[in-house]
Amino acid sequence: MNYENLYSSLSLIQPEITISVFLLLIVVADLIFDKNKALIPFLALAGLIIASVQVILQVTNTGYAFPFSDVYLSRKGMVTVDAFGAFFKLIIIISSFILVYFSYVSDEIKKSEKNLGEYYALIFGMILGMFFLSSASDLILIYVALELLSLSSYVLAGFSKLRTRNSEASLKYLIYGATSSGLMLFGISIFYGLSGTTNLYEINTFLASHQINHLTLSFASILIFAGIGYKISSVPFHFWTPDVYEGAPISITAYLSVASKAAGFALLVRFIKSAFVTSDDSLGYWEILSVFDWHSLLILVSILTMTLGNLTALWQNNIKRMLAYSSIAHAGYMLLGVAVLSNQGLVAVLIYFFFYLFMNLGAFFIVMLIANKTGSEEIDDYNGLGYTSPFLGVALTLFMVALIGLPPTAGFIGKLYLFIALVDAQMITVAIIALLNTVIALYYYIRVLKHMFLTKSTVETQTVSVIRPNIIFIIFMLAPVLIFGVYFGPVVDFAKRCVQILGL
Amino acid sequence: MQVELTHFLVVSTLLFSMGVFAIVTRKNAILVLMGIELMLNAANINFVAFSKFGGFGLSGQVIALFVIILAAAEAAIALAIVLNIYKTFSNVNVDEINNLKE
Amino acid sequence: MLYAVVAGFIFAIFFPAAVRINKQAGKIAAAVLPLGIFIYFASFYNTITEGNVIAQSYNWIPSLGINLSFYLDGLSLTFALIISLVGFAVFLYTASYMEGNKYITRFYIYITLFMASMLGLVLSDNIITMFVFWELTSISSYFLIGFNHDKERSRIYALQALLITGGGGLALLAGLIIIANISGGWSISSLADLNELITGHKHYPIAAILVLIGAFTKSAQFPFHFWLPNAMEAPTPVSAYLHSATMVKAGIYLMARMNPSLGGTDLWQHTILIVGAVTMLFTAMLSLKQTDLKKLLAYSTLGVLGTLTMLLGIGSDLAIKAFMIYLIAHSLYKGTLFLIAGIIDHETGTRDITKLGGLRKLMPITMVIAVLASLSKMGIIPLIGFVGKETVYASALEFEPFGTLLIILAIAANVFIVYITIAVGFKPFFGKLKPTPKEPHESPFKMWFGPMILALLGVVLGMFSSVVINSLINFTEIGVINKKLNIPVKLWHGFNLELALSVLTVLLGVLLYFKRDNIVNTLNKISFTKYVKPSYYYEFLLSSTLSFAKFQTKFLQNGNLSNYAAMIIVATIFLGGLALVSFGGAPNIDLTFAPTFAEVIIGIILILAAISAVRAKSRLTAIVSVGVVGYSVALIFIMYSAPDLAMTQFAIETLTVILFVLVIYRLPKYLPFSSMTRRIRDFILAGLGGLLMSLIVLFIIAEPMTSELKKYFGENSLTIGKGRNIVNVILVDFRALDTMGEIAVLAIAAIGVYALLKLKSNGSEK
Repeated sequence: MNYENLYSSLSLIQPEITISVFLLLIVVADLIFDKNKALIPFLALAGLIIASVQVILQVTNTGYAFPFSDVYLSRKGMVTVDAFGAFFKLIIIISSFILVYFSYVSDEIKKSEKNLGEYYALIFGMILGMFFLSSASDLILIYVALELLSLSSYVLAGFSKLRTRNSEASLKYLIYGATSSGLMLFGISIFYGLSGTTNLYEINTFLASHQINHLTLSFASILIFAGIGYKISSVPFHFWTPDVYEGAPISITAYLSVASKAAGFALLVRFIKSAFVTSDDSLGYWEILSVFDWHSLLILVSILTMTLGNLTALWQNNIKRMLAYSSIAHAGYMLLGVAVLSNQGLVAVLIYFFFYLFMNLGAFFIVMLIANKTGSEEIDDYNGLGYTSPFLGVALTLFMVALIGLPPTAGFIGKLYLFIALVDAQMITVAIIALLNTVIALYYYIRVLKHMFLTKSTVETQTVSVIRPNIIFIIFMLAPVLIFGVYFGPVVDFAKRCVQILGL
Repeated sequence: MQVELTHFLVVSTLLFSMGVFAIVTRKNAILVLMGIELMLNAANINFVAFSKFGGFGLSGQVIALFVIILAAAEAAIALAIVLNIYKTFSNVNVDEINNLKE
Repeated sequence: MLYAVVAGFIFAIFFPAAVRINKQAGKIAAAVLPLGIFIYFASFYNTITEGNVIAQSYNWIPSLGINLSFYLDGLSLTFALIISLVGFAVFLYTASYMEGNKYITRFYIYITLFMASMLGLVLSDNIITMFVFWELTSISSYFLIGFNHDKERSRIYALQALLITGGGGLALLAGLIIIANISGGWSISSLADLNELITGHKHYPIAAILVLIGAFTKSAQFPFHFWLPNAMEAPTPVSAYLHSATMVKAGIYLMARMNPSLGGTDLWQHTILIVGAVTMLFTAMLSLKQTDLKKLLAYSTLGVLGTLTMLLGIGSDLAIKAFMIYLIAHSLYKGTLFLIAGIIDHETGTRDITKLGGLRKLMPITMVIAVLASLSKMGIIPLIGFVGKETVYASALEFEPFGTLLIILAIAANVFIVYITIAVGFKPFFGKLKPTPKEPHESPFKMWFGPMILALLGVVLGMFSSVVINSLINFTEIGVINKKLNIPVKLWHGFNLELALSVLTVLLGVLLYFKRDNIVNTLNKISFTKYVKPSYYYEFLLSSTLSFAKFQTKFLQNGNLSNYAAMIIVATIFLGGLALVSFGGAPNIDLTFAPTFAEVIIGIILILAAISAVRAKSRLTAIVSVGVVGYSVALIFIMYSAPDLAMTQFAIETLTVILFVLVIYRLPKYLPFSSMTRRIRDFILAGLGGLLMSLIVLFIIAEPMTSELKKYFGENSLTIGKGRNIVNVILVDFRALDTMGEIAVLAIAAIGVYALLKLKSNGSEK
């Protein structure tokens, strides 16, 4: 590799470099300022701001970094920087900003202030892993990035004062994650054995030009899907999700439910598109190699995911757990968008994800504020909250309405584009199943509203007073949910721009 | 008489299955982790064997190297987590660590 | 038109502030709003009755070509006028009905939001905006039904109504998207010309059914009708406004609006006809057992909604005419009667008709209004209800080939409606005065003024039906069908069959009223099973979904880690098995072993060690066995002339074993295996997994290594790498980025372990 090449490659991974540098800075700062950790969140913010600028530039500044070839010298890189990856990196960055504020407010994190340095270092480890996952086009880099993300999140899931539920969350996440990634690695080894390469583009070339045993390839694909499926918590790789979400500190739960899932989706889409799709047809449908039936697998998995997620959320009494199951269901809807295997479906996924970010994090934030004050996450304890704390009640209502997907919120626009994509692809039966699922979701989200507004509290509900910065923050989260609900043009345009995945 | 790819694949498959078996049957968290180690080792044999017999150069070996180190890092984290589990549950039996459910 | 719709939303936002300044002024403003809207739409009357339509379009999201468009024709004008006029009466009424309620501000916000959404719904020309308003009406209805939230029942029924109408709304959305997909556009008015394209499409049946589900749930058609009587838990103004005059008619509106584009097929006409006829008769009959004023009215509303649906199903010009007249007539008299029921409830403290009677002297004005509305409802000349019923009968008679059947059904249903009217409109006022919980006296002006206007309008419209209604129906682009109707509306058609049937209906209704007790007693003897009630199925579905949800969670999500791990394996086996089945075929390979001695030894050691690791009862044995596996793997690496790798493997393996041993000595000594059944299950699982894996391997082996691949690598591996110690070369060159990731992993692992151990010390402090 010559230096010119190296230079251009490095310039393409600027955000990743920034994050790594700030990871080190945080560790150093933690060592220097042993007593006062107040600086660290601001250091983290500085890193995020720089990285976000670099990510935004990546929407237009695209290319292959680290061109490297085992076999075919295709000169396509291990990392592909494109608008699609930038979109997901943006999602990750936005949720990281929100996470910093979450952590700043969260009582759970405040209690372990001494460990703030490690906390942020691990978060930056996660971000680095997720950034690589959003743009990696080499199976080994994917595996390394996945491990980076996983190891950081295993620790973070148990990051609080040592309690049974935190350490249990950690252990479950660990065993489950390690098993899935072990399966994935075995799948990667089979891919390697078949094609002699781990580069997605080269695998694509190979699959297109050689006769391969479909069974072997299908099995390897399923093994790799196990690794991805666990990250996006799709059925049947979702079992860890509710337990970990309930056990982890709320800030981390919220983060896992959005950022980590975003990285998983970016990976899934890029893996399918780069390794299996030969070209887009005129309508934007993907010409997919017939070696493995991704369409059926994704439809099967997404239907199971949303149905199981919704059915289980139906009777939860812990709101954090309810949100965990509902996040599984949301992953199911989005998988359906991927299953369309077209640019239109992908646009729907991107739009959905962008809105999901705000509505889900917003709901989690309010749940955290209430838990900070009342110490409870039980839905029964929300009785009468709409009257004692009208601001929180109304805000949570709006987030819930958005999560159901009802107008006039952004959640509706997400579902609308998804349904349109499904119908345009003639997947009518599937669309109707998704619809029935939304009806189930209607029930359990509305249940929370019922408790807040229509049920009188038997005991005197504590008034949850909200300090001004939190009000501003909630309004900041609410604004996109409401504004994009009626004026969604810019988001749709941006998403349309970001479906461009390099490499065809 | 030459050793063929076949044999190593059979070995790696057996190893992988053993790993799976350990993960599912062992109740001690530590031994479950061992099962995961076995799975990773199986994958490693694959990488090396494929690169040798497929004539893919040394890339398989490099990959194996990465995996070895990742496995070690994972083991370190895992052990620390198990220690914390022991601290809170006074126990490392995975069957009894089930406060979070349903 | 945009402003007319938006006005309500803006009003709702600023209402709380207005009330804070001056409570009385706020309420008056609330009543002026619908009046203003009414006058605004009335000003279009001439334009529309001259046969014009008004379409307005505002750029909404120009980049996507999505517009906010409104469309005013005969149908939407009729609805807009009803919504705003009844709205005016209701808002005025609310001011005094809800006097003193703590949450009255909130009530005004909800109901204003509702009114604006309802207007938006009937005026929208865009499928999506129509759906948005559609769901908004469901949501505002949810809060309005549950407004008296002290009552457990009102909460349950609010949820029930929302689940049914909201869920139906989602079906509607799916149906509309399919239609938009077929037609290629989002404008509703342009769909009317595409009837052939749409009805001929292969997805037409599913789209039509989805749209109809939306309409039937909203308009409480059988078998979804049960939510409407239950929704009577709402305060009376809500029942009068939403659940009789406007919201429940949204479904009717939708069917009428979609009639030109989706109608004309057997599927559409027959479904609507049958569902409408069944709803009409079935629900009217259910009213017999009721004694609650509002419940009685709810059942008669259901009967009317069924009739309206049935008329659309008949679909003849005469039926459409009857549909329009009946729609207007019903909104006027039913709104009035609900408000009267509210007044009675408000003044006497009860809604039970058996406890009411003789109020005529105490509440004369109320009585006059009630009688006027009742006469209209019974179809007595010269009120508009008379015109309505005449045309309904005429169109039922005309229907081929089941005219006789339909007219019998219609008369039967109307007999019940006459009965209900007598019970609600006459019974409380005549006969002997009965003691009531509160001392009744005449209601205040604000309460009776609204209903009086509606009742008087019923008289006026009836007498001058040949002018006002005639032009509304005959000279406008009506929207329900693709042409202009040309059937003059007249009050008096002479002595004909319809008139005779009307008289018969009234007589039978009166008879029914006096014989009611006998009939009910007989009915009580026949015990209907719960299985005939659709609400039973709703509850059954709800509870069985819940219990299934619970069951599957307890089974799958049981918190047990080994179970979770087993799930991953099962899933993988299952998916792999699917692939196996779909590709099939046996691998064609030669399994003759020909290994060297050393390899056999290493292989055997490795397998034995692995078995030992898995089966060992002692922890140390297990760990040492895993170590042996690791070392054997290293030996294999050596055999592949990968000494660097082998060294790394040795070093790391040793380190790992030491770590494990160190940790394990802090943990309890001995752990048993699980129970026998569990072990058998696990064994089968692992065995299946192994078997599947082996099969896959056989297939891989069967695949000859691609010769091109081999050739390529033979040529290139040296030249590209430029060195013998390729591991090092690749690490820093080809795989630079992986190495960076790897270092990050190690750093994170170090930080993670440090943090985890620190947590521990934190814990010990407490």
